[in-house]
Amino acid sequence: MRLFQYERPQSLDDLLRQKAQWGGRASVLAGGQSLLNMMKLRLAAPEILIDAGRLPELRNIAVTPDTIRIGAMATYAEVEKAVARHLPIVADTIPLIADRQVRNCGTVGGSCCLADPFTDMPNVTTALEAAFVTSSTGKAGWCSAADFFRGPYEVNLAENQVLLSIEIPRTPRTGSAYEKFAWRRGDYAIASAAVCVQVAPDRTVKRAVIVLGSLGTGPVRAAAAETRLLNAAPDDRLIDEVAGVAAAECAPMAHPIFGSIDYKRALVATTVRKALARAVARAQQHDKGEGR
Amino acid sequence: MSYVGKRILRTEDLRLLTGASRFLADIALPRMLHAEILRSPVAHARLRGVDATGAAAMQGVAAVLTPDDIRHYPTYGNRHTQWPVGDKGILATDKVRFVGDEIAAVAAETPFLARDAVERISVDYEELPVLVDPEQAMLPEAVPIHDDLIKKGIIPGNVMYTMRLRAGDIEQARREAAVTVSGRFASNKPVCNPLEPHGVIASWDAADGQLTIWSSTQAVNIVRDGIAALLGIPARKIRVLAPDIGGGFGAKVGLFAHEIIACLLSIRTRRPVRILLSRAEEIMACTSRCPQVRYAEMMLAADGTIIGWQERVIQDQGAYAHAGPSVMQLGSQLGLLPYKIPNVAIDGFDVYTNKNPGSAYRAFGVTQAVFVRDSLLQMAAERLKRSPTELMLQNTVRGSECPVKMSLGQVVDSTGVDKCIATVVSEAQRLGWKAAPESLRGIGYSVTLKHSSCRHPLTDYDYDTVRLVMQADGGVWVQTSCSNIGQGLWTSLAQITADALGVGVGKVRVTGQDSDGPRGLGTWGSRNITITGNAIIRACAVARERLAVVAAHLLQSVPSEIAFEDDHAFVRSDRGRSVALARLVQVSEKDRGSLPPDVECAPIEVVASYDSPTEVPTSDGHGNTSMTYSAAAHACYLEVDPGTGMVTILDYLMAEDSGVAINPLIVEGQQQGATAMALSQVLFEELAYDADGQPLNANMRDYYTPLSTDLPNLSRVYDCGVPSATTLLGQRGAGESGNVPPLAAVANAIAQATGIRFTELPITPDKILLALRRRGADAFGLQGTLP
Repeated sequence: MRLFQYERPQSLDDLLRQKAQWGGRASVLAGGQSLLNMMKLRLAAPEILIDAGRLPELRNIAVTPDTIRIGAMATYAEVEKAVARHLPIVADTIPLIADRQVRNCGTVGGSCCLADPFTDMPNVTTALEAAFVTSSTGKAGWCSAADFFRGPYEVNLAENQVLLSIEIPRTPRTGSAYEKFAWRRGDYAIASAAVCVQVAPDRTVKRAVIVLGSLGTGPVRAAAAETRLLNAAPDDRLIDEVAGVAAAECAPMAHPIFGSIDYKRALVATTVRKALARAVARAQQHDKGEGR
Repeated sequence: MSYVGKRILRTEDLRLLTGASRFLADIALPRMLHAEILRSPVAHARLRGVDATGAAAMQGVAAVLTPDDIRHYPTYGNRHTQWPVGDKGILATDKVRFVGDEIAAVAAETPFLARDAVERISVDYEELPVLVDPEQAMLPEAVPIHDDLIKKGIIPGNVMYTMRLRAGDIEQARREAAVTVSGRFASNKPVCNPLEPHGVIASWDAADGQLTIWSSTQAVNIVRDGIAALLGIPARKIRVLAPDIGGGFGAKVGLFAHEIIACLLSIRTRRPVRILLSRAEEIMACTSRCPQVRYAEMMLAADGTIIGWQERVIQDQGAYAHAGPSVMQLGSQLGLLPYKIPNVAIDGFDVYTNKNPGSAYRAFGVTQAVFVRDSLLQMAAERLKRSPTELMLQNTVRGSECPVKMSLGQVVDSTGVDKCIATVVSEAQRLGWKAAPESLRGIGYSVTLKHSSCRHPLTDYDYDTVRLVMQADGGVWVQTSCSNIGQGLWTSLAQITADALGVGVGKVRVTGQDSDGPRGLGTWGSRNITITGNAIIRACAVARERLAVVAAHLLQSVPSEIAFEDDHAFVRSDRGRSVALARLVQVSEKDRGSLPPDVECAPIEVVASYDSPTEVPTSDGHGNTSMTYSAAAHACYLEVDPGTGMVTILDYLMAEDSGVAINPLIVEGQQQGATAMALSQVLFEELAYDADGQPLNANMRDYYTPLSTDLPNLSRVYDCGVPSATTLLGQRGAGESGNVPPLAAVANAIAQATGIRFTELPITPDKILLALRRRGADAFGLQGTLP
């Protein structure tokens, strides 16, 4: 770690003002579960650390019939508690993020802003086509998940901007699921797939988002696999086929410890198949429009 | 009341579990400086120059140590195995030999400043070709790693040690063999990675010329003797102590550069200096298990008797010797046990490479050797169409034939090893385990007899010492020369003491890990329960003799009639005549008038040593190096996931013979911990390097360490203890035997589940899945459908 200046603003305005003042020299401290470790290793060395931990307005979680809004400072544990029953993909994901201590401190917003390519929430929010609500002094902003995640450790957030909340739209006859694979429980994923599908009453797929995680690049949509799914009624054979298409179209990076490109490709097929099967089942169960 | 054999809770645990313990990082001395070490970022290079002027000029920097400052000191080697005589400098002077090699150090007012200053030191490297593969490194044209030792004629090249083990006539065995199985096996490079990394505080007292060193070490006397010899300070003026130690596993045996660096910085600044190694330093630079390539051949008669064993062993030593040569020799020799193999020819080559040095790791080299042996045993069983456990039992030494001298000279004094095998076989049956290749389920077995104490090659001593002091309140203080590294040693030794003196276990206090205490070797090789335990029994016998004289006088009896129990001495024939131990001590110390006329006042204080009745192995590897051998036989039942290659251990059985278990709770815990560590090694763990000698995973994100959620149920431990015939209580070591069988047990189970024999460790899920895919046996039959 290097020595740094510590600030703890008491209001959102203060936070925005400080961020505007120091720009790239400052980092916003959310749950600290990744940033502090990077600082210890000197991989990150902000001159100023702005602790957003005393701003309750950033911690709110609101569930309405149309949207689920997660405040940027809501912890994994809080999100799991408030959202999992409305959104089963959250129940798939959060219990497999690190351990209880980390989930009690770490935040969904912080994880998304760091955009470590091997973490989970960027994949899930991309699959759910969430909106990222941001703010800078005197100016609100908004962008889609697809625009927010630009690459490994890179997000669409200007130096004076701060993430306020993540808004997840709710649509009828929609199901989503997350499948994650790692050698250790709770570890960073070696392969992961986040899937969200909307089905018609005749069980054909009207909308499909298949997001591949842990390829080394940040969340990536499997476009050919999505296309194969559209307007078809998925059965086991089609699900296997779509998984194969996703595995074929993806471009994973080899990892010196966790396996070659071939291995990752095989895992993409496995994770997509499992996530897709679960998402389709959920969409069909929830065709009364009670959320995903 | 007797305590040996009782499952009493470890007296160490309350302080450890409530955060009341005090590790090295919890100690802060007044005026203490913090030092950081500059380590080489390249694997092999000549040092053209080291410029530390920028660092030295920084405010808050108290001292900088560079290669020029240490050139006049001798090099040092491993004081555990005495080989070779000095291949390591305190800092690298002319060359760096692996990523992590020490080049310079800075002592500053804060750790942050010290780190900043270290980053200001500039080094000019002339990079050399890098050797990461020992088979490449041993070729004649390979670039020399220790040019200086070669020039001096100490070693011929990168092969820094050769070993030759012989018994019987291997050529005759080859001629007579009905079946031979062979293969190339490669083991991996896990690191001990204790919860508490290495660390040291050195404090130089200039007025008295005395040096006090707190170090997280398993062997305070090795550190003391090493520092004395190296820095030319009289040993009597050096004191080495260890505070609470957060795990060792072998990595904290020996003298380390950071310990010497802290001493030099403290002498220079006349202030205490602390060095806490980071996790990255712990993983990349504090020794590892020794990886080996073993070309092995097992020769069998038609009836399944193993008649010959031949091996060519190439050990990847890394950049410095540490205990590596001994790992290769003892592991190869003891790795044959418990099989009776009359004809043996093993040739070993220990080869320098540009990596973190290999050294001691739980179970020393036995684990690597038994992985190969029991993999081949199962391959032989397949060829002979016999059950592997039948073959195992057929070739195993029986308890009923003991004592037996094995072909390489080890004397198995007594053993429950045959009972261990029979137990796991019958338990697997009772539990209904079913191998089912169609659902990728398999069962595997392996067995070991692991040394418990050891006379290493070139070190003709194997002792520990205790000092026992009876207290006026009837309590006992036992000061030992060993270290309590998390294994519950103080509890076990207190139980032994309590029974030997007839006192309550709560009245015994055991200490150690202080070089101002009795002289002894330290903690490794399952030697404390045997060697230190025997020394305690000796000391207690002397104390009892002296107490009996006083008691006989007070009770008007004779010393031979006196016995001890429940904190009292009493007359055997008349138990009503008794006197409290506390009173005997008070009289001995302070009441001359109540003592027999020829007895002076004196404390009941006894110093006793014990040296094991063992032999240094001869040049062809013969000798009984251990006073007794601990047995373990394991059975593994597992399933392979065709979609991910993950292995799920469905059930796991551990039968062990640790002789008379002093505390069965501790013995079981050791078996479980040793097994967990080995399961991680066989399936996942490895410090990995790229072709440039860069470590790829010297951090806890990428280095696999299992969490409790990743381990199978390890509750099935079976006590098959048979008392040792050579130790005084029948005890044997328990900390390491469980680390040996899991490797072959898992590899054999995977072979049965998948039909694929894996010979390179670790057997990670990617290797399994891709191998399944090659034969079209993965989840999708993906062979044809995926690019």
